[in-house]
Amino acid sequence: MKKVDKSRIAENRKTRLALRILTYIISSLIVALFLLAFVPGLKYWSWEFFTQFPKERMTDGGIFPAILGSILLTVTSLAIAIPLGVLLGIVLSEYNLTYIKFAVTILSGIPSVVYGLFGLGLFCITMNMRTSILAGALTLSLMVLPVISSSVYEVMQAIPRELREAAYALGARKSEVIFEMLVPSVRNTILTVSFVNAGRVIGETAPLILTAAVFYATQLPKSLLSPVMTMPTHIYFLTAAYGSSARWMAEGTASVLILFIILVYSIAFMFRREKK
Amino acid sequence: MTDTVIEIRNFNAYYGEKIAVKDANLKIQKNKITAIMGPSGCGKSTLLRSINRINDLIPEFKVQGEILFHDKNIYDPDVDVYTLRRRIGMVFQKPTPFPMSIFENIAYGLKLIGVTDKKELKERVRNALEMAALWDEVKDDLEKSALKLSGGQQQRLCIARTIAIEPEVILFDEPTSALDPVATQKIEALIEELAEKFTIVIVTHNIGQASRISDYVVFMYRGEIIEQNETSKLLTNPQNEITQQFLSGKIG
Amino acid sequence: MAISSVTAIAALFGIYYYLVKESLPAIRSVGAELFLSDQWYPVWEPGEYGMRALIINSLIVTVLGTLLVVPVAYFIAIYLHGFATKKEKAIVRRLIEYLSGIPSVIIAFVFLTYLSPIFPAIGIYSPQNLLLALIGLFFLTIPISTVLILESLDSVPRELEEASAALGALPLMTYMKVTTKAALQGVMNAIVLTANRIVGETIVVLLLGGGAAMVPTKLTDPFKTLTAAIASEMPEAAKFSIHYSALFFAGLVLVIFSTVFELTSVMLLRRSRR
Repeated sequence: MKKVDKSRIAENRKTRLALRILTYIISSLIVALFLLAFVPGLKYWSWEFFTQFPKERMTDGGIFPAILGSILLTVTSLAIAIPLGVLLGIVLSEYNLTYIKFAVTILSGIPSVVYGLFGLGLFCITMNMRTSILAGALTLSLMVLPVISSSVYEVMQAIPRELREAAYALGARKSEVIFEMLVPSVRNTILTVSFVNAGRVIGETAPLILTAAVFYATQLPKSLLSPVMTMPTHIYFLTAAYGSSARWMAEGTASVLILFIILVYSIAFMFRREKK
Repeated sequence: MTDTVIEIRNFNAYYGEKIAVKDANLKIQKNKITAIMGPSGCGKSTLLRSINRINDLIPEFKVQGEILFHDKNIYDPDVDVYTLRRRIGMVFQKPTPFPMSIFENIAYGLKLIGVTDKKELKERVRNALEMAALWDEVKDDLEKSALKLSGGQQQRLCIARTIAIEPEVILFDEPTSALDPVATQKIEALIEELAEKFTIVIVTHNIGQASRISDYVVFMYRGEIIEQNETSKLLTNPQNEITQQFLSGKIG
Repeated sequence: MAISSVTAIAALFGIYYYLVKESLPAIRSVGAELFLSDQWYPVWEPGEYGMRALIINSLIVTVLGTLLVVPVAYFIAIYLHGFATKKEKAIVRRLIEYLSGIPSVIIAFVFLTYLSPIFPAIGIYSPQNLLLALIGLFFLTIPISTVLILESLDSVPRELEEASAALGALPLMTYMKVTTKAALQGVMNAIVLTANRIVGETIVVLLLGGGAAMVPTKLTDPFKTLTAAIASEMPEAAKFSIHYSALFFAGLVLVIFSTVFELTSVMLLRRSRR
């Protein structure tokens, strides 16, 4: 009496299979990309590679100055961007400032190379910092600040209204409510966001080409006003200016860079999982 | 003589390891309104949702036993669950209009069953809206977004959407618990009318509603069917002590 | 508190102001030719500063790149939303999130090393070209695209999908007709943000696109975008020269594009909040 129609069940099965194949193909390509980026450089890892300067026109030596430069630049940028960004995110969330929120959103979409231009013009030239860590750090922190503050804003907004109301009902002042109750509850997200953006900063290239990085530094940076080498810019310069003779170094650098980034992101994910 | 459309036999339902429905046995009669009643958490919604297999969408859901629709077990592996759901429709507790126009909401189901002719679509949409007592209120603007209707109107829209594809059975899962008393009354009246053409099973925690509109009532408690009978008989003369306690308000 | 707000507003206006200020010399001496001419020869004597090709190229790569990535991202998101097992979803998602961390310079390097040599080997003249750049951009943007779409789909209330299923709809139909419609603003937002990411990308198009400041006529032609021009030419440009100023103008054009994208995004998200 009831029509048994198997074709629809089969159709659903076919759909699932097709989509699964698509997903698996793309996922495999992504894994291949990771492997091609990470594995070929591993064979160049050695004590010398991590502790020496590049030698003989990039055919020998190591990438120590680039590793150091990356770390210096990242730490400096984040030291500026994280406190300011978190603060800004909190302020935007707890005080109704629509226009500033608007500005922050637009800022977060501006291309990185334009931040580089701005940094070049303002910090390097007008403020006479020249090609320096400081110029680069200021530029990068400016770039990353809107993103951090947007994330913090989102998570503060997501706190259920009842929690805030309960705190105010107990008679707490606004600043107390914010700093003693709301912020600690999103501590893990703030940490996650910080580490994810650290990963982003470590990998940035374009703004630094314009403001902080040099192709080859003969010595380690003496102060914040010295130029640096960084790992991503090193890869860029090797690829753009040198041919296959320097490819080995680019591969080695890429592996180190990926290692750093995977570490940083793994820490970020760890904080994310800890959220209740 | 009444005839049985759905028979539930030794039916058990689990969410993972937790049992939600224990050893249920029940017969649903054609063109009658059967109410499944009980306190929160007694398994009535689970039982109802097993009849159109909408619980299949929940990952850890498992069943034992049988539910027969015209003598065929709906949980047999060769059953086309999509066709099953066209013959056993469902209206949910929270009105769920699709984010489309009123017309498109109802046409959605019709297109699913293969109706493409524009004239036929318009006609069947109108019939469904009339049967759901919503036509007069919306006929001037069918292109309006369904989200702009009031709660009661949205629920009647969902009913219209379900009856447009002409199922045999309609399952109602606490259809009025999210609505105000006026809307509730309109929907109860509508359900009574619909029983002339469809077989109705309605889940409710409201004794008054069961007594107002149902022909048969099934009382569930903690996953088990405690008692079932013609409504008038069960409500005036419950045989089981737990039923009595529920009816007098001591539990639930 | 006030410091951070002031910084933000100052930054936005500062960037606009600075870009305009530094572009003025070029605008004044080159004028409309900046937009109208294809002749981009800034290092000649006298230089020619026609950016039209650069602007068009930035737009072309954005449109093509978005058209390439979004459908794939959409269907992967549909699979993860409604067909994948919990484990599959978690693993693929985590994989994609790690991918989002790979710097563009590394993606460019890998494709340049392994894919680029194939072109001359099969008789194509230019080892860096539009096609190669699009492939690099695909892997660069598939993470944000997929994750944004997936999150939009996942945020649709389950009851809506159940209601569609209760009418006998097959899962794909439910996801494409009902879930997607309900998540429409979020999906469109994903498209806009993907486009914005592509228009602002520098290193991938620079290393994989080749250097020609001409509009490509086929996929295997090399090309250069506004971003690539800025990054590759600025270090060489004489400070405060017309070339320098013209590159700032290129930056200004880019900021205008990205502002338009972000405004669109804000409008889309505002509507969905109702």
